[in-house]
Amino acid sequence: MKKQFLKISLLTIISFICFSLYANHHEKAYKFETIAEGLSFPWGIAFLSNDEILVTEKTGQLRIIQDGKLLEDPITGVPDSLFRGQGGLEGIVLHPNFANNKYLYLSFSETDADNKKTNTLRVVRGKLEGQSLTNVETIFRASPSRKTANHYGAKMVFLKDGTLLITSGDGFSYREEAQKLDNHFGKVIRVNDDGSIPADNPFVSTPGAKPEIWSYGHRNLQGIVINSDGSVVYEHEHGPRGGDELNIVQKGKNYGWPAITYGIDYSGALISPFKEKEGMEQPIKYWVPSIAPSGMTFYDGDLFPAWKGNLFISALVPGDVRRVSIEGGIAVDEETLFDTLGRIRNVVSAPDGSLVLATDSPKGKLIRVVPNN
Amino acid sequence: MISRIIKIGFLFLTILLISFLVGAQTTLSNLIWLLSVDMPVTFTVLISSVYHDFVLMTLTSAPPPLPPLPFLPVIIAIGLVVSFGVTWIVLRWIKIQKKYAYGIAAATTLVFIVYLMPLLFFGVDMLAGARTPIGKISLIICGYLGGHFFGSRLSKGEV
Repeated sequence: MKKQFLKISLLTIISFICFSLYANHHEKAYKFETIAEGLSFPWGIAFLSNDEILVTEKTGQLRIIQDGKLLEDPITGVPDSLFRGQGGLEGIVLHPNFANNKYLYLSFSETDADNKKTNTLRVVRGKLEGQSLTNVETIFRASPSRKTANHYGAKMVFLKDGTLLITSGDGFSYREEAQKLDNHFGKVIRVNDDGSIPADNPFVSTPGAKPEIWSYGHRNLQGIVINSDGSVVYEHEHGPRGGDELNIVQKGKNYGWPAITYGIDYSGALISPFKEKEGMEQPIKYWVPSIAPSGMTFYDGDLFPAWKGNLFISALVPGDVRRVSIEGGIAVDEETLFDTLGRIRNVVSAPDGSLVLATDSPKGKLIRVVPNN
Repeated sequence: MISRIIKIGFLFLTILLISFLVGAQTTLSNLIWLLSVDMPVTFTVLISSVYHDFVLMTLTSAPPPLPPLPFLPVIIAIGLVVSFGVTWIVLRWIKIQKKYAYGIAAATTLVFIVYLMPLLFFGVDMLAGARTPIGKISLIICGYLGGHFFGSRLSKGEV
């Protein structure tokens, strides 16, 4: 009896040591370096170079970090945004030819000029000249406006052909509109870099349809990226209670919200008893319970060779980053990383191959993830 | 003492009845829309959805940052305690049948729930069935029916 007790104790101690060694080894694969702190709800991130970073603050400022220092004055010329609920100054993306034309694109929520009770998602582009944004022009304005200050989407990515994809959320209270083509709720939008409509958009000749629509049936899409050769567009969206989705976005496809969903409403009610239907796309991955996916990057850097070709998805709940491996259009594996930093608003790949995270807080940080050795 | 326990029992039943009606209204509004987009809504789907919504809307806790209490019954209970309390006082001076008085009181509770909740949640209707004017009216009627049940039970038992 005594011998057996000793054996079990020894086995427990050995297991504990092995687990500790494994955990330590795992921690040592990367380390965190704080790039900047004191950011007011940092949201979108764009790299002018590895050491020159633009960051949008949801409260309305576009900030610049140069050589590890957050410049005190925000960039001037940025249009006013509506900081309320989930709204504010949000997405940022550089023109593929930024080095020559200096164009950057911003997405934000904005109160309607003729009705202070309604607001919408607007995308502008402007030229970054020194510390100023000039020649600001509207590229896209979601229509119709909404009364709610939720679910804007507001992420952007340039496709290989130079067109811009914009995610436009369902406005929370307008979810059924995501199934109609006469509005911008719950859609992926595709426009040319000047805001004009590409002739090969899927619904340009559909009567009554908004010609900017690229895909529909989405909820609140807060991540959209392309893979390294630009052939695949990945998008993730918040579900309600459960049902967050990772999708491969394709031209003209219907992603089902809210007719099919893996989530339920916040009240506990069913939104739909259906999870699939012919003609509606299935996610390549979904999460129940929700992780609140807030940003995504396709990792193609060299600093972490084992992670090449993986998607990194920041999660607000409980606060971590999910590394998702994709093979043949299927999510085959998921690993939870960086779960000690709290709510993470965004994750992006830096030019040097490191990952940069933005924490979601009124005193948010930008944190660089680099190899430990 | 017994009459007080019976009253509390009726109040509890009223909360459950209103929760059920609100759940059923939510289910129907969702299913009607699903039918409109050619989803295969059958009688079995209807029954299972009504059951699911009643159970989960009664038991599901509120989303953060609200405290983790059953969302719907708790807000209905808070509203009813206040409105029924006011009604009890008003009935000392005004002669009106209890079933109508408590019906109006519970309907008023639902008016506050459907109109005040969006103010608390940045314009968001937490009850999906409350997003349209017809939905709001039907929810207020659900409240009236619950209050009517409570008032008529009080009248019947003379408690």
